[in-house]
Amino acid sequence: MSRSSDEILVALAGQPNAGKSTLFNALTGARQHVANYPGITVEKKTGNYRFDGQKIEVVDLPGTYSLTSYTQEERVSRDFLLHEKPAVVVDVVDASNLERNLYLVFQLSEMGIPMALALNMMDVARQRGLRINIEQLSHEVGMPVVPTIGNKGVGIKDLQKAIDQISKDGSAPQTSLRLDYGKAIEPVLGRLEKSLSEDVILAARYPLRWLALKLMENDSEAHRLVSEHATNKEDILSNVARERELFQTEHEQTAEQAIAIRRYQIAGGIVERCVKREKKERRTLTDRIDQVVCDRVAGPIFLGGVLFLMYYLTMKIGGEHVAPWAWKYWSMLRDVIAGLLPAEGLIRSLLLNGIVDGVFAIMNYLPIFLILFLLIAILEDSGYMARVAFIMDRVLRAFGLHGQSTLPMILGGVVVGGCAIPGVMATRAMKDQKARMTTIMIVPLMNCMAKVPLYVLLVSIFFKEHQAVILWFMSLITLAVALIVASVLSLTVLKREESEPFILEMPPYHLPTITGVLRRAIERTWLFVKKVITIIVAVAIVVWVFITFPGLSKDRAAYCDDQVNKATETFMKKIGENNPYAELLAGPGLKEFGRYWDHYKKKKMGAKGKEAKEALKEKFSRENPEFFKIVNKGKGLDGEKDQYAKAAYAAYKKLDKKLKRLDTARRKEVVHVSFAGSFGRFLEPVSKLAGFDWKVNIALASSFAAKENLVATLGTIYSIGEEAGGTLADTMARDTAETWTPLHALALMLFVALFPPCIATLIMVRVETGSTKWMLFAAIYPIILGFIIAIMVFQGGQILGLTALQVMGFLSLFVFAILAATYLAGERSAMKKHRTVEI
Amino acid sequence: MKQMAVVHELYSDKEDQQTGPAVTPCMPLAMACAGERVRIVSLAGGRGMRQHLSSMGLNVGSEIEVIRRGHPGPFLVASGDTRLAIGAGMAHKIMVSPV
Ligand SMILES: Nc1nc2c(ncn2[C@@H]2O[C@H](COP(=O)(O)OP(=O)(O)OP(=O)(O)O)[C@@H](O)[C@H]2O)c(=O)[nH]1
Ligand SMILES: [Mg+2]
Repeated sequence: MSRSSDEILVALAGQPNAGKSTLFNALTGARQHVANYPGITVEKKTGNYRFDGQKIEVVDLPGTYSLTSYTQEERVSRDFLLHEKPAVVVDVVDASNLERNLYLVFQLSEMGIPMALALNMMDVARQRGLRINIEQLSHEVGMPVVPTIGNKGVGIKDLQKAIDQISKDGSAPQTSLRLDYGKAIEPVLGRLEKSLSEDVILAARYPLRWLALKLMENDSEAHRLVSEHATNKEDILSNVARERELFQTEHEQTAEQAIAIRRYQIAGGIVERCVKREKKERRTLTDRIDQVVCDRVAGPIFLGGVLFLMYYLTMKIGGEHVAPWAWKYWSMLRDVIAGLLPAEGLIRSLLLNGIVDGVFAIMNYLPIFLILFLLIAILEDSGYMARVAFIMDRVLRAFGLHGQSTLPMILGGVVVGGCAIPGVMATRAMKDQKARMTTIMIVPLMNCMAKVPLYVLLVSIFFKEHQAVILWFMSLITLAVALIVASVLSLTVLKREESEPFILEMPPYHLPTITGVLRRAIERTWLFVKKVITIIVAVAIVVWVFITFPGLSKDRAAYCDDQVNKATETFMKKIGENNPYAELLAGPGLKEFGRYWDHYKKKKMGAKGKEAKEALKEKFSRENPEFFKIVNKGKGLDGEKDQYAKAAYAAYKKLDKKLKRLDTARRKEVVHVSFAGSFGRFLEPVSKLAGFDWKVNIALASSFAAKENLVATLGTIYSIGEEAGGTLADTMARDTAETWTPLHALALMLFVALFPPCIATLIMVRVETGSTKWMLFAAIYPIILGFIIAIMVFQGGQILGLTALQVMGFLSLFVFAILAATYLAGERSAMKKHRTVEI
Repeated sequence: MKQMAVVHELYSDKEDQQTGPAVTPCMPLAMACAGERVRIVSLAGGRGMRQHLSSMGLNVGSEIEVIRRGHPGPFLVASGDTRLAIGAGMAHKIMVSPV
């Protein structure tokens, strides 16, 4: 650690959902994820603040119920405390739940680090009618106790003061808390401690009483420490084994059981002495809400309502109102950027068509995303998300998933567009390794935000009358397929992963805080934006290179240029030599005029109302009065008519059309002969089975990098003119009119739905599973699955002569039949398991 | 409630047969009914699992209240002021006795 010696290291530890991250944010002014869902922080985070000119480095540790090495978080926290030796540990304690929290307090204090208690959630405790005698508590646990209300910033100054005090005192009176484990255990601990103290290295490194306790608890990490560092490890370990066995035969319970029970007894005693219950309210508000929300019948209905509301707010309000409204500003920004770019040539085409358009196409979804993530954050923060896991556990379990799979799936886009990246990340809170792996594998099958534009595009071309039906069909069929896949995976490739029973704490409900919700939503959205501007940019460049090079052959290029020259000549002839504007429009002047023309046309389309139009005219006239006369059909600003300018207008209008047509033809040819074109045609014989032609192949290949590319690449291939925008549907409809049927579209949509995750998601899968093998698996199985289904749909439809809607119907029947069978089989095997336990 | 009583008897019978004179009738948590208060008699599962349960307040000897029965789905229990959802599978492995 390269920590300068004048920095003081402070660790925030505590049980999940106690408010560590909230206090961390309050102390340091940082922006850590906070949510009313246990297990939000899974890695340690650092930040700092100054107190009295002293720099304090704060580490936010993951929440742990205890300090065994049972879970990843527990290991992270414990290793940190053990090896980094912070100057102070602040144990963040949920005051409304003191007894259970004390369990961790004891364990922490045994590690011998100077400690303070932050007694958080004082407001909740008060609400529940708990009165805590702070002084008494501080006396009993032998360390300073600071009451705080993290989310309101109450008590933060006091906490900083206490930290400062402890760090100055160094060996403060903290060690005065020493649990008495009673007649049965204490003598054993004493013996062990003594034998450990003979080992110089161990004695120097670790608090021995702690080590002795851990060894008695049969903690695997303690074993490892001994076998790594002790000189006579065999002696020590065999000694421990003997003591444990002796204890068990003598007391008819294991040492760790006895130790745990003792800790609870002591905790109970302390609570009894320090906490007074004012009103004995048996049914809290939370309980009463849960009665409805977790009800067998009302619960799922309520959940359905919540999900529908989410769908409505994101897709209807967000997609149909907010996004178009925001788009006005995005396109303004895009135009500004387009204006800054070099005027012409390859570089402009790369920057504008490749990167800027790619990025802005995605920015269109940003408002929808933000709304979705806001809603999810509200659900998490209110405490309802834990109930969702509770309700869904039953159904999901039949498919080898877990109640906690719900949040990742919702983030991934079960209901509406989501993003697989936060979805895969959210699986971290899951303890059940098997269900977690299964969830990671199926989250990318959800309908992420980037797949939706393609659906919308194809639906608007091929299924105009059934838009809503098709979109619902897509999300239901993908969900069904994902569940079947989950079930198959958990029974086959994931069979041997460790499975854990479902246990989840249900935090009490509270009103979400605005800052907390905003923070989470913005952070998740930011993650997405970062992806857009890093990966998409990189991919856009590659795609652009592949569809631009090697370019036309010399002859063809010369031919195209020739065509353009001819058109220009015709134009010059038409306006005639004696036209005073001829000189102005000759040579480079024509190009300049072309830009002026495009710019004017575009602005004019955008200008609404008489006043705006007048202002626009004035502006353009000021910029170039001659050009203005031409674009304004011969009329100057003063209303004076100019015959010559009018003639130039008419001729240029024709030329413009002709040039645009030539340009489009040229682009198409370039794509056709490009590397990507060759690749697409190379795959065509196989992909034809599912109805994909070479253009689609290119788009699919590019979307592997990021799904957002799909529509963008299709756009480039179907060459919408540079300044067009948003009319891809028209261009595609025109272009595909003869060759495409709705069946093509359906097969393509289904393939895209199941298609492999984008590279960014795959990287996340790699991070979360810690295995390249699984990453590759996640990349390959969806291609096979998607391709099979696409072929089934396309060939089946063609051979049987069915319409796309009929195929959809049959496919739904088929998939849902399998789904039902899988569910029943899953239920039955679960039942069997239970029965064997009962007997 | 009537049904539950029968079940308790059944279970205590079994205990008697298997382990001789059982002091308390015990049953898996899965058989407790909603609103019932029970005491944990034993926790099955691996050592790691037991410790994890302990740290969440589920200990041999601790009293919990069943707020909602699973079947299907997880159980909802109260241990002090904490609410825990416990999967049906787990609920079959936690032995409790009514208090
Ligand atoms: N009423 C109340 N709520 C609080 C207080 N402190 C934190 N919260 C809320 O409690 C919830 C949990 O806070 P976090 O800071 O995420 O808890 P954590 O300890 O970091 O949790 P993990 O990272 O999951 O271990 C959030 O919704 C906070 O807004 C408090 O003093 N009073
Ligand atoms: Mg946290």
